Amino acid sequence: MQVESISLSSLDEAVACGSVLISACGYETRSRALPEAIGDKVALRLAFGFDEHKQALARPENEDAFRSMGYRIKPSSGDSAAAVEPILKEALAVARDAQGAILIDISSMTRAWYGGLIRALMRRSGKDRVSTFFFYVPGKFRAPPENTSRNEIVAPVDGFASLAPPDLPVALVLGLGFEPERALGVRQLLDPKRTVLLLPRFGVDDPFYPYIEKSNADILAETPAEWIFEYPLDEPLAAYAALESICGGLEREFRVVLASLGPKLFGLICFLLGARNPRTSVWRVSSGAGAPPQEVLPDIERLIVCRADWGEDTSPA
Amino acid sequence: MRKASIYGAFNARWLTPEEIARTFVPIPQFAQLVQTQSSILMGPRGCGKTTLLKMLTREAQDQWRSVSLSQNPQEIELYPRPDFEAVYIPSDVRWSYELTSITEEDDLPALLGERVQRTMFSLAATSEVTKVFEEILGPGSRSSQRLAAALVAHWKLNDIVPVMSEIRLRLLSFGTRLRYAIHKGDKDAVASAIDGLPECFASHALEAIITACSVFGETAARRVRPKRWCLCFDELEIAPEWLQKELLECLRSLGDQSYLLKLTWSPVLPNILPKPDDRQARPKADYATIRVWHSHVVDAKSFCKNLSTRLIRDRLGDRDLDPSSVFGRSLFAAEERLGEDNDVYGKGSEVWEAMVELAARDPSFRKFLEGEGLDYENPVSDNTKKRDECLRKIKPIVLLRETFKKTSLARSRKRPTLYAGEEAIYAMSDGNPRWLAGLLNDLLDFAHISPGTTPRPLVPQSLQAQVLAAASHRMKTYIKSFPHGARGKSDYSPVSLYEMMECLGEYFRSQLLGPEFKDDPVGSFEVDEGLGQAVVDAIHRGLLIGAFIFVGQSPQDVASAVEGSRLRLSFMLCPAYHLSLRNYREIHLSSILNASRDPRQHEMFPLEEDSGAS
Repeated sequence: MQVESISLSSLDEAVACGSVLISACGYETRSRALPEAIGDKVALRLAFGFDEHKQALARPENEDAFRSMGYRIKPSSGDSAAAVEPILKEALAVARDAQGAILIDISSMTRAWYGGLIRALMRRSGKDRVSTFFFYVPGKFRAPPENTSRNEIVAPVDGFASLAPPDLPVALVLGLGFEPERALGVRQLLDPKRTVLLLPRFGVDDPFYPYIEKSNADILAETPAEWIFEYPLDEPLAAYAALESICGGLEREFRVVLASLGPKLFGLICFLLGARNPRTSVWRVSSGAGAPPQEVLPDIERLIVCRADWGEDTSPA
Repeated sequence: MRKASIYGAFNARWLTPEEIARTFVPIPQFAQLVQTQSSILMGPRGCGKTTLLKMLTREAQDQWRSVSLSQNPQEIELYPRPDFEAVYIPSDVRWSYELTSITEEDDLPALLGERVQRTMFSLAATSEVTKVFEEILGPGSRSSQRLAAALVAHWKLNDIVPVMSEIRLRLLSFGTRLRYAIHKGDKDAVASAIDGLPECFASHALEAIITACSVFGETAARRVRPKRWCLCFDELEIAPEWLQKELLECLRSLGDQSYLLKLTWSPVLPNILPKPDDRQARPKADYATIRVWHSHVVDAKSFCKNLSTRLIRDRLGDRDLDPSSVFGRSLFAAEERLGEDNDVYGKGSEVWEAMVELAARDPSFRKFLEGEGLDYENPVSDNTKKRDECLRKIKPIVLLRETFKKTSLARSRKRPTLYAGEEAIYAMSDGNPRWLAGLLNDLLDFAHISPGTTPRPLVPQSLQAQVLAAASHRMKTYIKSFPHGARGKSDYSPVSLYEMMECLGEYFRSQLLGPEFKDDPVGSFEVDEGLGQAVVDAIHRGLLIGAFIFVGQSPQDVASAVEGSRLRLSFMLCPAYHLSLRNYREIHLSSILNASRDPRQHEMFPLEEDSGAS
């Protein structure tokens, strides 16, 4: 399948046509925010359950909540997409039968999971059509942790490596987060000829923004201003269009690598772009199993819903 | 103004061979590399391996010889034109990691995944080879068309105009078809795409290239046929394992004398190659091991001076400038020649002042001077041997202690700036061209040539010290942020390279600035056995990115393994830890880690011999 269109949506629209909700039972309080908002309005409710950190933070409470809300929890390592295929297979079957949509709450998912879901959709063959609604519940503001996690893994995401031969230099398009120094490590490893930085901003008075600037002061100072952009976190379509334009412009002279250190919504945009444009690679930057879990409280009022409609892949090989 | 980056200055990977040749400053290792012999070129990132390989190519040689060597004809004898036709096969982290990721995907069976890797590699490499064919024969020439027709026939490429560019486009389209099939996860389409190609593309790493070169040999006129082909493979240490294995095995015994291999690798010899001692038992050296880093400052001095002079003159547009006029000398880093420079230690000199001042507030130093038979109020000696063996040796330690120890008790006086001056810049770069160019560009941002009187040095040393200190801290940040895990794998690595570096930096600082003056401090470490694989892996990463430098017995010495190696911290880190820019003696790494007062270090470095202890 291929992505035919991307649009902004709403909770009401999504719930009205949703047949399946796939979520993640994690250790953040945010993990259960959307499931609680939707309740039992969606017939089939599935969730990835982290193999790691089973007693950390809000995890026990979340697990109780998910089970009581009728979720079937599939255990999975956060770094593995192995659980994705069976979950998606079941979801597609149900959505097809009910002629409904698949709802995916990425708020507490790892990139391996929601990237894996998009990859699995991308790889479905046949004439099926399906609508997917991606939910992102932003976290309430908190200052960056004092002890920052380090970059454990920097590597292409399964299924999103473009494999373009090394006859052009690399351009790194990097979404920044608020953990210090991690962006430098990614750039140092990839050694790109061009680095493009994207800073997320949620509205005018985004309290995260100054911290992101401060945490990335070094790499921002080393990057020419013409290659530093902001993207609106509350307008995913605009963010997608901007990213698509940046990558499209770079492709003529570079092999583009997309990587995200910031909000998961940017990661989603990268995956959707990578699904539409296989010439662009999407890489992951992970703290791995050693990173301590961090609590995130939900800011459900700022919920973002992004719809992606999928259809038959008609692109030439 | 954009803040400078130590890594942004110079990257040969992005440059064409002609561009590289225009700014090439030869080093002795290049004379080894042009020999008609397979080679493995070893060194950390940024040390110049890619530059040296690209300089072997016809385009680079033509450019260099037509311009640079005409200005320096004596270099023609030192660096004869290679007696082979070099083909540079590019690679980088993105390419290697993405190739490797194919076999790590759940969807593709391992065997098919490896066939994909082989095919993608061969398609890319063969495309590069066809470019070299065109260089030799001339694009669009009749002989190029004949060769193209022969390749088309040999590879059974249907419906194609027999010209090299069309062949490359066809190879590109094969790659695109294969990539698309992988993108869609269509195993059957992947297998079909590979099966549709000649077998040589999914075979041994060199099969497709050698096949192409053989067709060239059969088709091209005798007078243009190279005596031998030299296949240059870059960044092999991060390539898929089968590729490493096959190329390294060919390095030892390719069989066909028409082919040479030049490979690049990290500073530690690959396991598959015999250790240098084992090789000595075999009289015939089938390949050369060429080390492209400097463990001693003096080894890199000539290269650093040449590169600096060229860069300064290009950047500032003044052919009369040289590094010493721009940066001045470094009292701290300069190594005076034996028996000369009486004034450096003479009464009233800066070193003398520092010794007197230090002796006034450091009883341990006073005691040291007395032990050497020197008057601590007037530590001079007419004895050349004393000056060479004692004063020259302790000079940087004295300057460090006088600058950083108990300065509240110190007399107010103008102290020499430590991390500044020509020699300090060279030392901090460790002879790494990319780092050196980065430092120079950072420093030259502050150089202003105005009409009339021009101050000397052009860049004040106080300003240089700020720039070099900032560069040192940036190096620490880079080391801290470099990914720690194994490529693509999720196992948590318990050993932090950064924490290890901090432990070492603090230890070496305590040797120099501790309570007791030491004229023979510890400044390097030997990696002893039994530290555990995680520690070895962290050190290996440190060697690859230049945080650690291997210190051998000679400038040609290479590490055959991490264990047993003598290493030091990069001199780029010296300002951050207040260290001297000299090599000092070593002790076991385990001793340093055990001596750390921070209990966290014992958690971070759980030495195997300590495991289970309370």
